[in-house]
Amino acid sequence: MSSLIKYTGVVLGMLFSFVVQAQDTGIDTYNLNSESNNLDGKMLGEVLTLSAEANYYFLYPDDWVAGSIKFVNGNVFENLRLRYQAFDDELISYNDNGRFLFLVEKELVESFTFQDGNQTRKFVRLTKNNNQQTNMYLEELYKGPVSLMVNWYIYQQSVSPYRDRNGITRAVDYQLHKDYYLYTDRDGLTKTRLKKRALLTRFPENKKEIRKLLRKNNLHVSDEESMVKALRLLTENNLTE
Amino acid sequence: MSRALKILLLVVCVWAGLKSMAQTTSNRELVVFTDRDFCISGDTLWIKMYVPQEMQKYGNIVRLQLESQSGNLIASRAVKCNETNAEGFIAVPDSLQTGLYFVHAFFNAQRNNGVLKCIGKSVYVYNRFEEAIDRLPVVENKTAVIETENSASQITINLEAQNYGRRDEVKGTINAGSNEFAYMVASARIIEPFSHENTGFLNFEMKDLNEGIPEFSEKDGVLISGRLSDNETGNASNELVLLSVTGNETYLDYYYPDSAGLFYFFLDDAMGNADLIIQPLAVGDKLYDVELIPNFMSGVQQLKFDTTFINPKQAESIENSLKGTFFNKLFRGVSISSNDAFEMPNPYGMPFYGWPDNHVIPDLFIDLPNFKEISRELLIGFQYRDRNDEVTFRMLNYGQDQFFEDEPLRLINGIPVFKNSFFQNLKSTEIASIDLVKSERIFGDLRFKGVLIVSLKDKSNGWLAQQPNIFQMKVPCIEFPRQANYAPKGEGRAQPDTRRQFLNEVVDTDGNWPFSFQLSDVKGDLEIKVEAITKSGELYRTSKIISVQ
Repeated sequence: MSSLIKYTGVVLGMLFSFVVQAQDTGIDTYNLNSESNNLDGKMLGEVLTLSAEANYYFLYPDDWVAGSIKFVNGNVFENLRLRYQAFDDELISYNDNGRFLFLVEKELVESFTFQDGNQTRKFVRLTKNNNQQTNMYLEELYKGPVSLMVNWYIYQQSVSPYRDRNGITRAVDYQLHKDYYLYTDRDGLTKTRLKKRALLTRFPENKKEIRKLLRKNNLHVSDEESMVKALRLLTENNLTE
Repeated sequence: MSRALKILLLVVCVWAGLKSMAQTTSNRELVVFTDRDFCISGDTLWIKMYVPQEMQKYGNIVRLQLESQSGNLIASRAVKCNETNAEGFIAVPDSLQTGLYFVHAFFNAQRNNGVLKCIGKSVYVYNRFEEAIDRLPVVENKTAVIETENSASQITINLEAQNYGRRDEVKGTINAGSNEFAYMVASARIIEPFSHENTGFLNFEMKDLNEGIPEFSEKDGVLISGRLSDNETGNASNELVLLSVTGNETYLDYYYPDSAGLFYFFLDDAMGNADLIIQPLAVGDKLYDVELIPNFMSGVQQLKFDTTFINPKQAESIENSLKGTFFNKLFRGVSISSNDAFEMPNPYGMPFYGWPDNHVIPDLFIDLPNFKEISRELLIGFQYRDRNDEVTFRMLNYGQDQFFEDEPLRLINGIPVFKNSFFQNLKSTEIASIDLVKSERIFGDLRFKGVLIVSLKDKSNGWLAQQPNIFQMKVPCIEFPRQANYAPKGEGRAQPDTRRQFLNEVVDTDGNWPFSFQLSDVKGDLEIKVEAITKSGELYRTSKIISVQ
């Protein structure tokens, strides 16, 4: 037998043994190292195969960003690569050791944060809305007696047929949209807009005081930042009752 | 400044420095209080511990241990502390030799703290089968012995009566006045003169005898440490180690050992005695060994001992104690029954493999003779393939609408199984439930291509017996909280009451603390003692001795 055949046999034998091992144990281990040993807790989830459509249209931010996840049991996982899949409202992470994507077990997530440019975004999982069970991720812009939350979602719109960046003809367009909500434990989510009028409508009994307070602080509510400032002022002056 | 003034100033500074050092010693150390100075083998030693606030950063699990004079670990416990207080007990082994023993404690996170200090207690143990005890060891180097300051002026013990007889009720109050004590323990016992004279608080400088254990902060859980090695060569092995816990079928953990084969697991909220199943993830004929490393710190390394003869009065008292214990066991039984209870909630609140897609209860269907029939009839999306005498399993991947190409993770009673032959002969009548997970799950860095979970009606796991590379071990976790019961059993005067301990409680440091207990038939000197620690860490002690006629 020529040496070429012998070597080929050895290589095939080794490959076969690896295949057998993977089949027998039912556990794929990949490149385990000391960082795999998190004594405080492990990540749970489901391996994800990302479709091209989801990859291009449904993910936020545009690229993988560093972030951390806090579980409801107190476990914290840091230095993860994260993206939020806005269409299905799922959190996706990347496992460096195994080089695979996975959906983080939603039921276990309390909150997650990631760096979006120079801004840290914090998403929380809302479990109750108007005493109804719910299970959705919302960005938390301000946390107080009345919190300001953002619902990121993908808006699907029928359009004239066009060719996308992969040359595929499409008749729908996907756009990332945001809806703003005020949240209290008692009243749940109430859709709102980033306007002074929205605040006056939400707290009709304190209209005069709110107007006066905003005027006094020279605050014009027109964007996320000014809305957060306004809510903070209202909380400090007990006008959110 | 005159020379005399300078010297005076220097003396004052040195004194103040020494004073501040003395004051801060024990508010950085655990202090152990025992309910007695001696015990008979087979007794239960009840222990209270003061946990200074400065030490709460180390976690809330205190490792309590009984160590022999030669530095051997006799017993250990992990107890949960409640702010500044921790309580536990040690069941003194029935076969323990007569001698001097030491109780001390530490936090696991203190391991690499340089010199780890603790204020522990010495306790004499008399073997209950010992016929004559004529000499006993004593601590020779008195520098380790802590002389507590007498606090009769700060803590007063007031009794309602002056004279007491057998079975009388003792009533009184303890008053610490306006002194700022951080922790006070009151105890009452009939004195055994030798141990009363030769036991007390000791300064222990603890030494780490198991360098393989990391300084992990144990909070609401215990750290389990072990070593994996090749059975043939004894060399360290670093195959992945899997941990299952009997009775908690939805729990799994893994650890990838280092080059020394060391592995660690943290059992969160584990109370009682755990039955652990540890197995290396290995296929083939290679055999492994797993040994668990006891979490132990030696405190007696620095002590020296001498032997002293006991006088006839002391010998008589010890003999009476031994006889009393004999009667006590005869009439009242063992005070603490061995308890194998174990509780550990799943740390994720869900199975480690997620919620299953299918849950099948075979009892709801007709009886099926083997797993092949069960899988054909009941398990939708699960393939049982039997080709050339080789059985393989495949799970449907829901997301992809096709079967996985590899074996799923297979669990029997929550224990990973790597041989399909274990399933072949399972009848439907033996199975409580079957769960199927039909997606590719991750658990940490592990991936499973579907999961088959078989829960048997028989939870004894007898099928594991004689299996290579599967190690079953019983490991004590956090002790269930228990309280000593010093009260009489109430059998009346017909049976002898040989109790020697009557009280051991943490005293409320504000105002008057009332206490009462009933004496037993044992005559002798009754000591009511209060040991206290000030907020600055000084140990005080006051006691009242009454003769019981």
